[in-house]
Amino acid sequence: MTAKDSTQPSTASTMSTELVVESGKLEALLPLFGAKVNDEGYIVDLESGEIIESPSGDRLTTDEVGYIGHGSVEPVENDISSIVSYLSNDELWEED
Amino acid sequence: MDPWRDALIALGEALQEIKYRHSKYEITTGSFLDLVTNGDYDQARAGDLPAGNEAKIQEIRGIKTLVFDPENIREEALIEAGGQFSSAFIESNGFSMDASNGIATAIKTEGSGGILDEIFEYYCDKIPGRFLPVLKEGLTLRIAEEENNYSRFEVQSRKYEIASAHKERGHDPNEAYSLVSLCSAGYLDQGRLFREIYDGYVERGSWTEIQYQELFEIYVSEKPFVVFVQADGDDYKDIYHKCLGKSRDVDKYEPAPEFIDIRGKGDDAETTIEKTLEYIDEHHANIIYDIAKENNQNVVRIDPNSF
Repeated sequence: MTAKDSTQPSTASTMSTELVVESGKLEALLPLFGAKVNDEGYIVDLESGEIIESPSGDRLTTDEVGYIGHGSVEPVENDISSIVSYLSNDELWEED
Repeated sequence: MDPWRDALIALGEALQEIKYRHSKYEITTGSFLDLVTNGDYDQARAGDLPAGNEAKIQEIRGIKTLVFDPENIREEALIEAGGQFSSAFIESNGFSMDASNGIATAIKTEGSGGILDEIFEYYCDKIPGRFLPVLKEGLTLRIAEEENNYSRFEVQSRKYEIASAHKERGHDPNEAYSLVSLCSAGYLDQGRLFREIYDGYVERGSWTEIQYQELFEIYVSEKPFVVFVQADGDDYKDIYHKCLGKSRDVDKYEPAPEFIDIRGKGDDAETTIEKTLEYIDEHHANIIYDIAKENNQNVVRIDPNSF
């Protein structure tokens, strides 16, 4: 038996309005979500001033963030593996 | 339900009321509220606008976008709409930064009931577990690339991130590069190679799931059915020799590939493929092949038995 192949790749569909934020405007919006940017440029909790780390434990500046997750504010690195693993509900990314 | 649009409408209403309180006249057409309520846009963006300009609708990377500048909007209006923004933040599980260029939208859109979900769900119990994060990331990249017209540099950068993450989990980064390329080319889609093999050999045949997993590993690492032409650096004679070598090796595999594809994106790759075909035509009088365009890739499908 041989290996056949046919047809073209499928295409994507649509959803509700997505919000995208440019890094220069993040500082103005963060207070709406309980966070702010400190003098060193890191994202911190609005009330406590504590730096909010990424899921991998890194401190991120507004230029390094790829996604802001909810819970309260969770900055995620601008890295495709970090963003996909953060938004997925499975445990595929745990090391074997 | 459209949480972010609702938040922007709340902001528009807050602005309307504040401006009316200050100047006592109705502001309608062209106002922030008018734009967010009646404007034709598919995405909202917090971005830079000239001083005094609160919002405008424009096309960014081919997407109709409502751009608003929070630094040009009265702070009291932002505070008044803060509750709605906070609700949208929760309901949408956050928001993307511009720098990530459509990655989150791709996984959120297609990762629940869309094509990414369909393909991932098909393979999640059929291929070795270590490939699953790469598969999901590769499919996300494919969608983000298509929707946002990624440059070659951006595609390569994201592939590097996927391969690096795979290596950090203790695996060979080269197999991640291969799988991402195969995802992008559609070989894992409905009606395509990897599913045809599963249907023929496991569903209708006598293969076990383990045998399919072993086939998957070999096909991903050795790619016996395809030669990818890089946009920079590939010489047409190198491509020719790779094709020739693969065509002569098809019978080493079970199943034996029924075709050898040559694929490449962009003008440089197209030129290389043209030169490769000229060279093949010169040296192989009985060669049989078809030429097609798929998702911005030039594809030549060669019958390996005609080489």
